Formats: sequence, C-alpha cells, structure tokens
Amino acid sequence: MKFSLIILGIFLQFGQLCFAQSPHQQLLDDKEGNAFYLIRDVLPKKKLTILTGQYSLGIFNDGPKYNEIVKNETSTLIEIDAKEVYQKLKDKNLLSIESEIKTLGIGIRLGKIGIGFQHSIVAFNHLTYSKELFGTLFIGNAQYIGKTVSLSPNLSSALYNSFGFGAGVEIGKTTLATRVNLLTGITGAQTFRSKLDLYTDPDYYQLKLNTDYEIGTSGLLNLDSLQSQNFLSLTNDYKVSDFFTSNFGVSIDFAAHSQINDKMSVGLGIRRLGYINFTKNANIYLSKKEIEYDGLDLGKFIQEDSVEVSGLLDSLTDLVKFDKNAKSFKIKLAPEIQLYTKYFITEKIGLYGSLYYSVLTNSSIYAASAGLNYKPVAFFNVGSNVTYLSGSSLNIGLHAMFNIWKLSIHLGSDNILTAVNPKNTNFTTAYVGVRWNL
Amino acid sequence: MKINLLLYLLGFILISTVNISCDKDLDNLEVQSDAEYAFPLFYGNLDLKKVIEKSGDSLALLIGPNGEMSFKYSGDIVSRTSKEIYSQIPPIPAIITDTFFGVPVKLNNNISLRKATITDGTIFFTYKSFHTQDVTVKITIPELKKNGKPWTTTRFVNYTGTAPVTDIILPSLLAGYVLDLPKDSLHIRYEAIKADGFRDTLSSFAMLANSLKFSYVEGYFGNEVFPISRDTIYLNIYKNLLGGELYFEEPKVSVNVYNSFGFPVRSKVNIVNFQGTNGQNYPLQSPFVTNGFDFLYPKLNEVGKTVVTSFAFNNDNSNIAEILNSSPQLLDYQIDAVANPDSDPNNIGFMTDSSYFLVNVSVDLPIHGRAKNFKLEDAFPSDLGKLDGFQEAEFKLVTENKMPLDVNMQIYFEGAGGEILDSVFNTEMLLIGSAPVNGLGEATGTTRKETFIPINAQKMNTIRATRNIRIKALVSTSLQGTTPVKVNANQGLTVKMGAKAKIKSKL
Repeated sequence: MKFSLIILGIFLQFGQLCFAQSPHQQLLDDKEGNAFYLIRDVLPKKKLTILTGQYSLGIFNDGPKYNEIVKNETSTLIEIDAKEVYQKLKDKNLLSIESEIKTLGIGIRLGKIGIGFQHSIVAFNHLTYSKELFGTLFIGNAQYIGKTVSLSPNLSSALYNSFGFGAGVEIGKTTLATRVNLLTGITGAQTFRSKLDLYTDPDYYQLKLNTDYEIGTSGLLNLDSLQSQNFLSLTNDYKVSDFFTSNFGVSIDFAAHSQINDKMSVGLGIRRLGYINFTKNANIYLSKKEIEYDGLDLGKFIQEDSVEVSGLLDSLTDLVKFDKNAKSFKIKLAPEIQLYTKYFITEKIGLYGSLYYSVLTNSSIYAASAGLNYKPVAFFNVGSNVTYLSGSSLNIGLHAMFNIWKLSIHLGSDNILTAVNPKNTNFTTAYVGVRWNL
Repeated sequence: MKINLLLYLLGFILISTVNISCDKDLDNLEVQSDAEYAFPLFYGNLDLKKVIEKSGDSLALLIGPNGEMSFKYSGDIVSRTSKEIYSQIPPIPAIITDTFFGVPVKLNNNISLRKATITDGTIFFTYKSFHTQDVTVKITIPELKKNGKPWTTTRFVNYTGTAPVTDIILPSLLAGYVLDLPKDSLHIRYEAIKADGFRDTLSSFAMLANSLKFSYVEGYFGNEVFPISRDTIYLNIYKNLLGGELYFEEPKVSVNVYNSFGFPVRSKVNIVNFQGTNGQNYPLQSPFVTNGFDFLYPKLNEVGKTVVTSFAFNNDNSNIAEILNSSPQLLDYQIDAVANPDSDPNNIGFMTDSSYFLVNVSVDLPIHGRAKNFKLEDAFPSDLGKLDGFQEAEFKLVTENKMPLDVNMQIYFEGAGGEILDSVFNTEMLLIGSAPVNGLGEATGTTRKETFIPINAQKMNTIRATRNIRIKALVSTSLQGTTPVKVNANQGLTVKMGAKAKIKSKL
C-alpha cells in the first residue's frame, strides 16, 4: 500500500496547483523583448547586469483540482471522491513541476554584442499516469475484474547544476542570443519502458501482472522493494561537491527578438535542448516478466496452523520485483519553445501574446497567453495576463517590477487565483528575483 | 547551504506547507476513499490425508494401493515368549531302587516331554556299597544321547576295610545332549560288578538332574492359559464428533496373532467392551467371543516358522456395526491365549527357546459409509485486530470437490474471553458440495461451488476484537447422508478464496 500512498501524496500535493513552464515576466520589459530572459542575461541594456538571485516555480496538473479530488477532510482524514475524479481524468494524465534557482548571473555589453555567465540549479518532475493507474489505486481493481488494465506510470525527473556561457548580438532591429549550458546532474530518474498490465481473474481474483518496465535512477528512487519506507531516496543537504559530479550533460538555449516597427515586436525562444548522462549511483531497474499471484498456499496453512493476514496486502506489493543493474543512463531534458509578440499602444501601455510548447518524455504541454502591461511611473511596471492550457482554461496572472536606482526587483505569478483559492486551481507559476543594472 | 535543496526544489515541502502540512497531522493521516480492491487470499488442494494428519490422527490412517482409505486404531502389541510362559524347568530327583529304573519326567505346566535338546544343566548321582570288596559301577541313561551315544559313566568303588563305601559323582554337564522320551520317562541303568565277578546291587542310589534348559522341546504342553495384558484403544475418529451420525459399512475389530509355538492355541476373550462418551458399555457380542477362535501354529516340520492368524469381528459374526453407530470413544479388551484347548494329550507339539506369539488388536474402519450432519468443530487463534484497515469486504469462496461429501459450515468469531462476537452466516451454509457418485458410492466427477460471504462495515467493526475463530462443520455424504460412499485418497478438494475489500489507508 505504500506505493499508492506515495502516489496519493504526490497527487494531492500537486493537484491543488498547476504548471506552466515559462514565467511571463518579459511582458513587463521594454519593447526589446526577452525570450526566456536569455537576451537580457547576455546582452544587458547597460554595460553590466548582475543577477543576484531568482527563484521560480511552475506547477501543472492537467487532471482534476484538489477540491475535485478531496470530498472531505479533517486534520487526520482525507476522503477522496475517487470515482468523480476518475471520470474527469484523461487516458493519460500529467503531473509536472519545475523549479529553478538562479544563484548568480553576469552579463556584459560590449557595444552591439554581449556575453554572459549564469549558474542555476534546476529541478523538474514529469509524472505521466494512466487513468487506470488512478482507478486501480484509488477506486480499486475490483472494477476491473476480468479485464486487463494498463498501469504504466512514466516518470522523468532530475536535479542538476547548470553553468551557462552565452553570447548575444544586435543586428539591426534584430537581437540574437544563445547560451551553452554545461550540466552536472545531482540526482535523476527516467522511465524508458513502462508496460505494467494488471489482470484480475474473475475466478477468485488472482492477480496477473505483465511487465516490461525499465527505469533508470541515480540516487532518486529506491525500487529494491516497493514496500520500502525509502521509496524516494532523499539526498543530503546541498554541498559544494554537488556542483561538480560525474553526471555530465549539455544543453543549448536560443533566443531571437525582432522589432517590426516602433510599436510591435516578435520573438522566439528555445531552451533546454540537451541531456544529462547519469553515471554516479546509476541503476537501471527492470521488470520484464509475467507474474501471477494466487494468494497464500493453503498447504502452509495446514502445516503452520495460522496465517499472518496482516502481511497479505504488503506481499501483493512485492509482486513487482525489479532486477537491479548498475548501469549509466541518459535523461533527455524537456525542451521548451516560446513564440511571442508585443504591441505597445502607448509608451505606458503594451499588449502581449505568446504561444508555448514543451516536449516531455511521454507527453507535451501547450499553452497560450495574452496580457497587458502598464507603466504608470518610471520605477514601477505592472502587468496582467490570461493563460490557457489544456485542462486549465482560466488563469489570471499578475506581474510587477520595481526599478529603484540600479536595482530591479521582479516578481509575479501566471495564476494569482492560486493565492486566493489554492485548492481550486491546477496551474500556476511564481517567481521572484533581484537584478542589478550597472 | 543548510537546506534540503532537493526537496525544496522539487516543491514537495513548499506545496506540502501550503496545502497539507500546515493543518494535517501527517503521522496519523488517513486517506479514505470508497476504493474496493480484489485480491486472492489463499488456494490449495486439500487431500483428506493432509487434513487427517493435521488432526493428529495420521497414525490411524491407512491408504491402500488404489487409494482406498481406512482408519486403523491399534492397541499395544503384546508378545509372549517361551521363557515368559515356561519358567525354568524344575530339578528332576529320583531314588533308584533297581538296576533299570524309570524316572517319570513331568515338567511345569503339565508338559509331557517327548524330545528335548538340552543347552544347560547337570546330572548328579550318589550311592552306597555295602559290599566288602571293590565294586565297578557303570551307569547309563539310554534316553539321554549325544551324537547317538547314550550318556554313561563308569566308577571304581574301592573297599578299604570299612563298609558301606559312599560314592558321589559330581554334577556332570548335559549341554549338547538330546533327551528322547517316547514314554514320558527316562531310565537309569546301572551295573555293579564286584571284584569276584559277580553282579550285585547298590544301596541309597539317588539321582538329581538340575538347572535343565532346552533349546527345543517337543511334547504335550498341557491345557494352559497364557494371560495377555489388558489394553484400551481410543477411537479418535469420534473424538471431535459433537453430533450427527456416522456409519461405517465394513467396521471390524481385527486380531492378528503371530505364533511360532508349535501347538494349538485358542483365544479366550475375557473383556471386549466398547465404551461411549458417558461411560456406557457396549459389549461386543459374537460366537467367537464366547467360544474363542483358534490361532494357527507351525507344525512339527515347521520349526522356526512364524504363522500368522488374522481374525476379524465383523458385521457377519458380531454386533460391531450396531456398536459403532453409537460412536464409542474406546475399546477395552483383554484376550488370553489357551494352549491345547481340547486337552488332547496326543497333540504333540513343540516350542523352542525363541518361540513367541504376538497379539495385536485393532479397530479397522474403512472409509466406506455414510454420514449425516457429522459434526466437527475446531478453533484456531486469529487476531483480526490486524485487519484494522479493512472497512468491509466480500469474500468469494470457490470449492471444487471430488469427494462425495457435502460440508455445511458456520464460522464464529470469538473474543479474548471466548465470547462469541458474531458469526459469518445466520445458520450453517453449504460451502462444499458433494461430488456426484455412482451406484457403488464412488465419486465420478467434481462439484464446483461458489459462495459469496459479505462482511459489512458493522460486522467488520464487531469482529475486529476477534482473537479466536471457531469453525463448525456438518459433514454429510451424498444425498443427505442416505447413500454409503467411498472416500479415496486420490480424491481431493480444491479450495480457493479471494476478497473484494474496501480498505482504509494511513499515510
């Protein structure tokens, strides 16, 4: 049962909020645009820009919201309206969370060109689960008696350092920027094959599992036994040695912005096109077998005169036993593409629209956003946007930027409804950061 | 950087803080849904042999070459050897009053010897000579031979001027001699030849044969009773019978005798009583109880052979069926053996120093019969408090029965004090259906039966206090116990159980 509880815990934790990959703070910037903020990182407006810290978070669940999952709750009880949730689930569902801490960024402008460096720590989790997995765990397999259901959870997760070295150039009204990121993975896991079919025999409910499941993990998961209390392996406190591991990777970011006229500009951003090769503490867990669980052998009952009933269900968990093989594996990052346009009605008021697409291992995310920003005074800029994602249609964002002397503080969210009613949303982003423009 | 960065970055802590951690006690958090899980509980092929072994009655179960089964409850095996029955042969004294004198040989137990092979013992002579001259004395026992030659000794009595002269012949070993007594007597022949050449007689002539032991004795062994100790056989098949009826078609009390004594022996039944639960006596009645039955024995040309006699009190010669229908608990018996029951002295038999007879009494119950609501009950400890996650359940019991037996069952849940908390059914339910049978009572197929046993939430709460599960079973043979059936070891019962359960989980 541990496994289902872990899944439930993740599900509930994610279910209240949601994810969109890109903070939209660039809608607050000037007409020059800022795809994924890359352009401003390597080609600052002034001679030097120093980013001294930024935290951003994005969460997305394309399934039901927390309030739709939980029927009643007290301090010690959570009651799930699983059947209603089940009806709202798609055949394949996504739980996604990404987070990034930019610890330090430096950008230097040398005329029309610029160079920059940035260190950040990035984490992402993408869990794709089938409707039947939820149904089996939270409604039970009794509904599937006589049927074969595909459980097949699919996970892609990593925590890594990124050391980015970038350059940008202005060519006429077009600005181009690119950054090569050298990556060192701290921990990660990825599903490579995910067949996990369960058949419940109508005779007396024997369970038959047909598996072809392969997952690589480097310190993140412990699948030696699903009964283990340490299903999720937790790392120790972040140490300096975590900056440089043997898990090497590389990724490329690219941004382009073009000023069509005085009022209108367009831009394109691509980032996280790359991979990490995990070799440290790397294990491949594989289960490729047909497993049948028929219950306890009554012969033992006759011999031993008693049956330990309490261990019965846990023994079910042991059905899926993985073969462990110490072997390196590669995790592909989830690349993101953003296409946007800006239109400034006046010097103080601008319109904004963007399309967003991210390719996950076993899924993808589409988003569209439109917004408005207003700069009443020189040191303050505020904006709002509406974002649509498949499964989360109404998300209202609010963003702000304060420019005090040479200090720029920016913060915002793509769904402020989360703050008002966190249990009734399934998407949000949030960010806060400090930048020096010298 | 003293933060658990991984968790922080993954957002778990953040989200938990926002949503759950701030108002939830995670250690005691329960997640309740109306999820219903289906899973198998147990399976197994039960053969009757294993079940009986579990009941501790395995020693009583016999399985024939074709799988036919029977209960065999045996008493102690009693043996009697020649040394126990015939104590050491007493000394044979004689006063010899003539030069050819017969000594009758009558051993204990009225044995009349015809022939004996001596392994130990001595013979001793003494006499006096009143003759005033030297005498040569030759003593011969013609019936006592070694290698075909009779026992003999020659003495020289030296007259020294004083009469009488007493001669003592020190004990002479007889081991290896064969005693051949066609007329129940051995004879002492002596010759006393004086120095002048004339034959004469001797005075105070006495003989003593002492400490005689034989390896083989042939003769008439008399009409003796050999006691066999009393014994009790407990019939465990009825031990757990709390009610109902159980009929065996071919019950019997078997007496098996292994005999290497070479003379007729007949049983003398002193006690053969079955006893009921409350001490009622059910005497076994049979002409063979009254008159006894003969043990077979080896003939004179079968020395060293052991002959087996198997006798049975059965439906044809006794009231055993009637008694067993009363479900007796034990058989109390004492059976003696009587040698030469016809007291015919012409019945010449034999025994050796290794002769024995061995008696074994058993109650044999071939599993061929009928039962009607044969009631069995058993209990085993089970702590259902461990099922605290179960809210309610529906158990599915599947039985596939090749035995010609119907089993109705009730299951009781008992608390720590033995009090009944609840039961599975309102009354006994047929959970195992009898296999179809032919006219001979033999099972011819398999009967499958599915039973759904719902345990609702209220009952589940009640039975969580269970510390003991008691099962009552009413076993009937086919057609409500009206048809005698045969149960075979090759028949079996497949039992499978699964459950659909609503389970409450704790994080």
